[in-house]
Amino acid sequence: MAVATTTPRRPRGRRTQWQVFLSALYRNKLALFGVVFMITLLLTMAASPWLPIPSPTRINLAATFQPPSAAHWLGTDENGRDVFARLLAGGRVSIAVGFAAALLTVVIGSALGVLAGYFGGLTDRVIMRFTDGLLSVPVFFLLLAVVAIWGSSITVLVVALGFTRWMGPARLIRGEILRFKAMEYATAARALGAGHLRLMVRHLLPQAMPALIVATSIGVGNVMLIEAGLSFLGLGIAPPTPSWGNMLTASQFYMWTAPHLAVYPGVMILLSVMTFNTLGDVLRDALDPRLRSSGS
Amino acid sequence: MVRRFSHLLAALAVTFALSGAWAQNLDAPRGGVVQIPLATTPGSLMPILPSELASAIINWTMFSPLTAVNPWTNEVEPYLAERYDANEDLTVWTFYLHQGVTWHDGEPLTAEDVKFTFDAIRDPETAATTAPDFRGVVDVEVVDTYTVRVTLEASDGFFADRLSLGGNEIIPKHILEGFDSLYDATEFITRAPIGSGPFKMRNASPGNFYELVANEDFFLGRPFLDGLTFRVVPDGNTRVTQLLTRQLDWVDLEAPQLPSVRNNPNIAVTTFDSLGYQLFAWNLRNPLFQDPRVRIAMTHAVDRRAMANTVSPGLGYVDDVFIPAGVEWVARPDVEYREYDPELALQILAEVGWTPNADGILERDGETFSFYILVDRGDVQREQMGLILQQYFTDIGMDVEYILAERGGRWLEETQQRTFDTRLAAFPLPNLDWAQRLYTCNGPFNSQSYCNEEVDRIFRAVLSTIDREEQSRLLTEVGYVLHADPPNMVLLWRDRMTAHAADVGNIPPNNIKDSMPFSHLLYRQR
Amino acid sequence: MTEYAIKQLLAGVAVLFVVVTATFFLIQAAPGRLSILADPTLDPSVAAAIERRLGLDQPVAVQYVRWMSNIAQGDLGRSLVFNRPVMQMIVERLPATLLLGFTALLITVLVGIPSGIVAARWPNSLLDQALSFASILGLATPNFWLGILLIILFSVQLGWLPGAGMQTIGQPFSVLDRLSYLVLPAVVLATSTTAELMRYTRSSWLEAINQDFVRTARSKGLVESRVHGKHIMKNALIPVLTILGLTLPRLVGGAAIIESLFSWPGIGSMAVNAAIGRDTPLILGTTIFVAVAVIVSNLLIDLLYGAIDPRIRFD
Repeated sequence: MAVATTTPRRPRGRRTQWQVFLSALYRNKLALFGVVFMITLLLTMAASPWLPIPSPTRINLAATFQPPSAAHWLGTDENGRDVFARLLAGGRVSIAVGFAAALLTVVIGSALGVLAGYFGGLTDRVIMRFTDGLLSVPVFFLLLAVVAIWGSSITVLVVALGFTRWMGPARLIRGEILRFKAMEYATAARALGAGHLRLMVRHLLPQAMPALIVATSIGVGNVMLIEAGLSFLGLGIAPPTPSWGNMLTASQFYMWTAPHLAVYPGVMILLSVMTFNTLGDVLRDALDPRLRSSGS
Repeated sequence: MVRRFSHLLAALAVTFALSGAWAQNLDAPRGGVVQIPLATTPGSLMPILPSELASAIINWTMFSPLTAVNPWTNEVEPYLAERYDANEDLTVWTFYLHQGVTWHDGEPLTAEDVKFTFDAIRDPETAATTAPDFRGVVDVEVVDTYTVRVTLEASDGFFADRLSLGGNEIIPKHILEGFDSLYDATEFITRAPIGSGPFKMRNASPGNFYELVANEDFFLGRPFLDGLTFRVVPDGNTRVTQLLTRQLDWVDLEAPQLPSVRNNPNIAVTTFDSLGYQLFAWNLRNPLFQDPRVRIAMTHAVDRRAMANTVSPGLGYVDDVFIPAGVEWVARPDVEYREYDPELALQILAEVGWTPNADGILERDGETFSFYILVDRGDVQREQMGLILQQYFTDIGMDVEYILAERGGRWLEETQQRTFDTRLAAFPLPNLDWAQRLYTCNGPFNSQSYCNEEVDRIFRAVLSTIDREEQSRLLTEVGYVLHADPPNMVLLWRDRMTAHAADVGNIPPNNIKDSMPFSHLLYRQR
Repeated sequence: MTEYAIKQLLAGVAVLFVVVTATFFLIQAAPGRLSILADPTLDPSVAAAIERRLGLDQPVAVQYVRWMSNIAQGDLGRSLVFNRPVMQMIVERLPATLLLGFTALLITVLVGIPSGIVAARWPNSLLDQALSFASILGLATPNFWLGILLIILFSVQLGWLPGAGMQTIGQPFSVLDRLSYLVLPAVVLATSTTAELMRYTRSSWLEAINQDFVRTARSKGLVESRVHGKHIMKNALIPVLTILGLTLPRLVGGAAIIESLFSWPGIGSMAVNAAIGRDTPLILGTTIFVAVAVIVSNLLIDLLYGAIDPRIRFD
């Protein structure tokens, strides 16, 4: 293939890479919209302690199903809790779970991917056979079993998701590593006496970083969808901790009296997942032109 | 003297039918099919084997118990037993079967089948759900083809009543005696049961649907319907949607779902007293709650009526009597309802030594008032009430954690090990016998370790009589004792609802499961 | 070729062994018990008798060895709740899952590939952008939410389609009847996979267009439609096949939610109940069965590669 003969790309300056990203973002209007939405959301969440927003868990039986008002910007739910505050609090949980689980998958995936790609040979075969094998297992069933039995605390959920979804990133990273390992400067670093670990962590992993970032971004969205699906089955994050998934599920019961309660978290999930997916596309375009046209 | 129940009960039933709005149409048109949902695939079509709600519903339409609770009156009536009686000290019970009853395969049903069933229940290897009810049985004897005599080791005024509660339906000896274990009869258990009830299995598709047809020879008369169809529909909201699209005819309804069917001319809603309650239970092994004053104070800290009105608007009631008002023959003890009064709650807690510290948290001898509420996942009403309780207790300065746990997981574990601090649960009291299981020191359901000698003494007296007036007097008395030393906090005596297609008739004011022994009366208007 | 197939199969089985063993101990080490024992009105002595009968009173290691030795002999064991062979229960529900899964797969392929090609043929056109927007929405919508919306619209409001179940009971089988029940769940199940396949087809098509030999073909004067038709098709379809292979377990896993929502009597809804009811042999048996099925079908897809592109060798 052509890869072996190309000269190693010089790491581009931070500024230029940033500019490339911005211009790619500007070209993708949907992603731009998503990023603006997400930044606004994150800022509002960060600022919420100073905003005139009631507590998301404060129950008030005298004020259930209130319409939007100055005190409750999006009204109240079946327990008289402020919907806007709950959307923010639930978003914090959903996004945090998304990031944590996506990061965990990428960490596990890149550790295995780097090992496989770097050492090659038997190590590579064992790891990759295991990865491919796991892709054949309907891990969702196992996820269900574990979460149903251990309860779906945030920790259990993140760990269970992390350990069942690292295969994609692992394959991706391995591919990247194989590509860079063949390059001359890696050989040079080796010749200069860099140890295995140093070479992997300091030289190869950074090269795979663009792919990692893309995988994380898309992973966040996927995890958010899974959390919502688990909530529907009664296995999502357990109340009283609000999450968009369990808000969406709880609202099903009030579908006929207060359909808007289902619309808010549903739209939030949709917009967030869309944001992370399109952001993944943009990052791919910007950070790694070579990846531009291939799928995740 | 031999006491006869059948006449008295028949008379009672007539009175109810005449007085209530729930008169049954006994001259209904024949034909049609009614579709009823099951939330899960029934685990066992063998009624005496342990199972869950779905099995109980479907088995009652195919198998006959000796006695059954009339879903219109909540009174126990003779069913497969035409009548029954007990000797003076309530240790020998004799059941006289309907004559000429046949199994769905045409074989005659006799006293041998009853003995076979009861012996199977008594066999520990069977692990029958109702085995504990038969622990006091010394002997089951076939007197003649249609008469069975059960001998007990001690007086038990509720033996015949308990046979009506499900899990005691008679199973066919001629089919099952060949198996070493009932569990080996897998075809019977999963798709081809043979019973003697109003409907018989025609086509079973486990996980999907069960198609039943009328038993032409049913001993209480041919069912009005030509058939019953049970469909497995796991999601509660989907069940309501299915009612709206006429794919189901009769579903249980939760309060928030009511608006979806209320103004629909094709759907009728039935409301009834479920004879069960949602309760908040203290673990009385925990020193925090051992002083009844603490429990009384906590009761005053909760606006239970506002809570009931939120989780179940217009349905059900709250009081501090531990016997449901639906059991009309028990006189209500004249006890005061513990009103919402946080000031009073704090005052009582201060008497016991709990006072707010600098952070506003109740404290005594350097220890803060901290506990958690354990709630089982899956019941919308309980999940919501747990959150509301947490809010009320937090408001008076308690440090409260809310833990929602899987029913089969931590919730069960802590219930059985009795390690929880407090928990929410629902408890049915379909039969007053069940109250003693919950409130007596060694009661099998008393996981909260409640123990009051006085309560135990009164319940022993209740069990050794079948005189309704005496029972009523004793149960009223127990009401006073329970009020002074509350075993738990009544959150809601539940009224429940079902919704059904308006052209289905003879829908009893009861839940779907408990209506099933009388499914032969359901009919469909032309 | 045979050697390759055997290697793949062995690797799959090894992975399965590790995963299933880990899950077995994860489940058994957790507090609590079987769902039928979770009834607080169940007498403790009865619960103990049930546990004895099911062998749940044995040490976990003993239970594991007994279970695993059965698996090794091809026996998936018995469901604890239903007291039936797991294999029998799977076989009973397999047709429903296959019907739903293959219909969804058919929709995925029939909609995903052509629309991906169309988008790639006229990149950045209005059509491309519309399709791209649709695919982004399709990938971002929680599928049960979409399902509920479709049920409310097509079933409750319009009354065109039944909202749940698999057939009208009491009527003889008819294709039209079955289709009317199949449409909604299959469409919902296919939404995200279709969106994904479309994106994938589009990008691999674009990649193929830019490859040398296509340019060569063009320069040799081949008409555009022939270029698209033959050369690109071949090169673009290989990555697409890979994605389809990965889609299979997802269709089964994702079906768990859709089957529960639409009361579709398949393996997915059974697995959900088994997980919640803590029916370990049933949930693990189902997992093993599906995994083996996927491993075998992936092998078939690998072999298909060879048929499409003889250059592909197997190591």
